[in-house]
Amino acid sequence: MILSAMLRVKMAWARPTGPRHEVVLSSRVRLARNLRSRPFPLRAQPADLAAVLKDSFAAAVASPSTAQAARVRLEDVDAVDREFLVERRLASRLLTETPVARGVVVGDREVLSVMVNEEDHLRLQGVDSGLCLEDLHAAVSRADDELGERLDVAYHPEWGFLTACPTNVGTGLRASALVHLPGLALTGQVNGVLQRLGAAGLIARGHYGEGTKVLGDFYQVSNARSLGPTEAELVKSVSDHVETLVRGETKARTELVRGLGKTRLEDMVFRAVGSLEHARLMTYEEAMQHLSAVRLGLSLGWELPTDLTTVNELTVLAQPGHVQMLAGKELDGPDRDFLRATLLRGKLQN
Amino acid sequence: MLCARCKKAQATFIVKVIVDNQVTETHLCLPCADAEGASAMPPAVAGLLSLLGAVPPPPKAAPARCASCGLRWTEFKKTGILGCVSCYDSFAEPLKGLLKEMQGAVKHAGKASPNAKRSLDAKRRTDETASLKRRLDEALRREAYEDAAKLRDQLKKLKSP
Ligand SMILES: [Zn+2]
Repeated sequence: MILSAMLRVKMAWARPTGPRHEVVLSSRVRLARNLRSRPFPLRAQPADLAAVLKDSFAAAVASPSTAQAARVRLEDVDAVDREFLVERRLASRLLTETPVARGVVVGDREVLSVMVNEEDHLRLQGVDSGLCLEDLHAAVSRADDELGERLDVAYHPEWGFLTACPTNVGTGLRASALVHLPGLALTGQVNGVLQRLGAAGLIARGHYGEGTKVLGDFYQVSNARSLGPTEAELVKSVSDHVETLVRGETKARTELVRGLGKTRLEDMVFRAVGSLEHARLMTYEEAMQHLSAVRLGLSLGWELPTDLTTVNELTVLAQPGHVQMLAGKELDGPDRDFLRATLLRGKLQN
Repeated sequence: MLCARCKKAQATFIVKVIVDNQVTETHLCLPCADAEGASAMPPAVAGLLSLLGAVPPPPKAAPARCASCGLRWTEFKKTGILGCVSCYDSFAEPLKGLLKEMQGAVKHAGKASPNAKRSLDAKRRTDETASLKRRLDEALRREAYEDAAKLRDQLKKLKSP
């Protein structure tokens, strides 16, 4: 139904059209909100949760920004569909582990969505391609104002929007960008760069596999504070620091293709293409490594048998839940690796 | 290692954050790490929990639990998650210290919620009505009928905007 249809719809953020898309895959802005009259979800009774879900869905239908959005009650969909929503960043583990009276509202192209009864009653989020935090914030904030007209949102004159965890109180805002930093990683600069971000009050997280190597050199950069600065100041600070990262990464890539390193880089990228085109079994970790290398080659303008949209989508589609969604059933590890390799081969050859 | 958030899946994410030159690490599974990135913030939560260890318990006069939802301060110290909106009042004092430490600020400067704006507008209207009424009484006492008529018009406008 809705979810299988979503599998065919392209995620807005996968298009390589956003600003700085060679380095920034996607931007995300989320706002945490709660209703005054109900305990926060983790302490709420089932009747409270049901009331929050009902009121939130009703408010979503009545708000222009979310009126056309799909509303999914997690208890109405099966385990594979729930896993799919998690990997699509539309639901969290917290929602899917206890699906009763939890829900998601998913807007057009999955740009705007709302999780209901996560850690907070409402988690509004906007995700789109490239570095576009300001625009996303404007859209999410508008949806928030519209919902706020229809719901009794908890707000404190001193402390702003009240959230279940005090780390989110105030603006309830988290602005983040998913960046791809293979150049900085290959030139050994990535740790220093990330440390400087930490010192500037930002948070950088890597995606690690079994060992200490970051999977695919993808990092998420976000603001650390939520109280004090205005929403616009927080968004601008993240945006400015990501711009600096983009400049550093671009410079590193230029250095890599100059001189002796070029052949080593070509070898890495074309081996990755070969594996993706020919392997019969592939784990998620290996797939991410190869996709990262291919993405680097493409962003350097090399002729490769694929394009950025496909590679961006494959970083999502190669995840275990998505592979199972394609199969339409739960799969064991080896079956998943086989199906994943088949999927990657197919996508790279057309 | 198991994920620190759901405690079910294998952790594949190591979240490192530097707070005051101290590196803290949190181990998470991919969906939790992603949910946190999309929503909450594990490093901040880790920082919060370590801060909570150092924050003195609420003073004796303050309640040990929230009057509205029953959450104990000791429970909050363990999870970092409050129970309800009233917890912010019940534990106002220790939370203020915590927010100052953690966020570096205790005053929200961003936008207000529509309902807060509405109640602010309502308050402004009540205040203004009271002041106009006072001036009207005074004008009538002075027998300044022209002023009084103007004030009456303003009052009428305020009542039906
Ligand atoms: Zn409470």
